[in-house]
Amino acid sequence: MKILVCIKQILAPESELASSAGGDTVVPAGVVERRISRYDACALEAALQLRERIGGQVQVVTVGPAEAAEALRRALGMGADEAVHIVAATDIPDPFIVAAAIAPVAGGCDLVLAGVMSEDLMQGAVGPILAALSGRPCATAAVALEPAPDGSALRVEEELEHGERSIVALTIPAVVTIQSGPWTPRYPSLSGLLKARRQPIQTLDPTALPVPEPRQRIEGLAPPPPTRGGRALSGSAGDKAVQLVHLLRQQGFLPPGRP
Amino acid sequence: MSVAPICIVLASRDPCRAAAAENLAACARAIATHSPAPIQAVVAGADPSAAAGETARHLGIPVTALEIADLSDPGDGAFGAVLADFLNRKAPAWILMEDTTLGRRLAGELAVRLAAACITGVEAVEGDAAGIVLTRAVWGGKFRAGVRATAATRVVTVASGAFAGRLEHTAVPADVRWAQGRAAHGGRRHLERIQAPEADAGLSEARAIVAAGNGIGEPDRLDLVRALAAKIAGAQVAGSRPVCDRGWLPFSRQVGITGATVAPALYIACGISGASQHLAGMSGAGLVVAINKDPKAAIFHHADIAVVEALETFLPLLIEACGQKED
Ligand SMILES: Cc1cc2nc3c(=O)[nH]c(=O)nc-3n(C[C@H](O)[C@H](O)[C@H](O)COP(=O)(O)OP(=O)(O)OC[C@H]3O[C@@H](n4cnc5c(N)ncnc54)[C@H](O)[C@@H]3O)c2cc1C
Ligand SMILES: Nc1ncnc2c1ncn2[C@@H]1O[C@H](COP(=O)(O)O)[C@@H](O)[C@H]1O
Repeated sequence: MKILVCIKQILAPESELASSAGGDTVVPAGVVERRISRYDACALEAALQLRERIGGQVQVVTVGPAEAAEALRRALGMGADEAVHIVAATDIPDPFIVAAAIAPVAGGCDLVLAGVMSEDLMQGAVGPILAALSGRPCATAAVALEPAPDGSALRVEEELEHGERSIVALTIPAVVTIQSGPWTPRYPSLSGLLKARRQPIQTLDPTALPVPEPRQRIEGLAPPPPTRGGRALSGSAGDKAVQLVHLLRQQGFLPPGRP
Repeated sequence: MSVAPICIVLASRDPCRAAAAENLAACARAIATHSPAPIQAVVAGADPSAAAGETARHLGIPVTALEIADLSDPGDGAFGAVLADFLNRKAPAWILMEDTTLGRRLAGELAVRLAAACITGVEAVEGDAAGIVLTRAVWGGKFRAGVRATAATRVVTVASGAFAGRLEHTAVPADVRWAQGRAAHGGRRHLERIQAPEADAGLSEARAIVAAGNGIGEPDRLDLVRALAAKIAGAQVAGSRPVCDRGWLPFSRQVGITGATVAPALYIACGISGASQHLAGMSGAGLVVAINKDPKAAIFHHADIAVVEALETFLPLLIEACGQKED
């Protein structure tokens, strides 16, 4: 089975970030970490485990700026066989453009895996859109994958809300988005990383691809409006601990202090 | 020319969940305030009549019962195909669905089939001279983005509870129309549903919850969280999804949209970033205390008391202070 995994390099949410001057994206504002989005690393792990069970190849693809090649190197280090970099000047905030760029690469694959959502844009849109664009069946938020022995179908366990699940059968070729949980992304081995450095990364020029009309755009980013008071405790860590205990005692959550 | 409608889409399998329908209707009304348009709903499924009638009575808007032949579950591939066909004929400006696993998958499919924009997890609606801007969380909730659709049709999933409480009840007699559809499943067949495991009564009844997030870093630090919980009368330990994913706590202890919904009098979030999927499970808590080393963490916008500290230094001090007398 040939499996394509869509991976996105993100500016980690726990990094120091700010809104860009144009308000259309988030930019570094200090120490930042760039890494593979959490669910995409799970998707790659799922693909590698499938390969171990039934054989085949695992290809990874990303649409992103030059530095996104690092994410592909790491994926190769984890064990992917091939990598494709669709080079874009910046991050692309429109899921249709991302899906349309990936669609030609997906065409040659039996199974396409994506993350249930990206950690930065959090849309959960690229996978389903890619499926619909390429006329393939789609399952989302998968927590288990079971291929049919002849490779013609896939049994997928999808996570719904509050612990409910549904089981669906997809015919191959198909698109599945991966939820976190059963898949703990492996660490690349040292030999894997060394090998990855020598492996070629195929680059595609997006200007050579048909780019669809954008359907939506981001206009402005702001911190979320507070839903609660958010009173910040001040002083040393010890001062804060004393203040907090006092407060919890006042409200009856802790017994009064021993005399 | 008639104004393109705002169309609410509900699946009929589940009993009419009033809160979900109201949330969608309230979002539709928010859109219509800025850009007037008729609001209608479609309740689709194998046997949508009862749910359609209930929805019409409840929301006071026209409802179409869309009966889909041979459908075992809204999760079957035929659901989206029939729905797209139906909606295409209605030519709506807006299609609103719940922000669920089903809703997000359908949103992508419908957006492609209807050449529409696809905007998921919408939390607020604002209007300006140029039209409507939808607000949604990005970067784990650290920012909210305003998104403007440039396509004439927009498929939107609405974050659960985001618009609740803004519905004015209007008692209008049920106005249900019928439509029928049949489609091939397109390579996706629903096989079965697995019910959620029994909820953990300990969490739902706890007076206080101390919750561990990814920020605890290593499983041994759970001992600090447990030690803190032991000091607080009636406190239970819970976790965010990454903590339960790793098996550091059992799934039954997970708080959030795919876990438990809790409403203790006190919720102490330790190393939790404040993603909406987590907040959805604990926003009904009484007093919320957040401990996080990142002063910009989203959780601080949703906490009553904010402590910017690293857990490994702060929790031991806090546990110690619990046992000390006050000056
Ligand atoms: C469909 C779907 C359903 C989901 N359902 C749920 C759900 O039910 N429940 C849920 O929780 N999540 C759910 N999620 C995941 C959710 O989006 C977030 O990824 C998750 O809540 C993040 O968990 P966290 O806050 O523990 O971890 P992170 O986002 O990694 O945050 C860790 C926080 O700890 C802080 N930190 C790090 N080190 C320290 C330290 N030493 N001291 C103090 N603070 C520190 C960091 O600053 C950061 O803010 C779901 C996601 C999807 C896509
Ligand atoms: N720029 C990108 N390059 C490769 N894959 C992407 C890109 N953006 C999104 N994806 C894939 O689509 C998934 C969902 O992203 P999103 O729709 O933005 O939430 C991600 O988890 C990735 O698997």
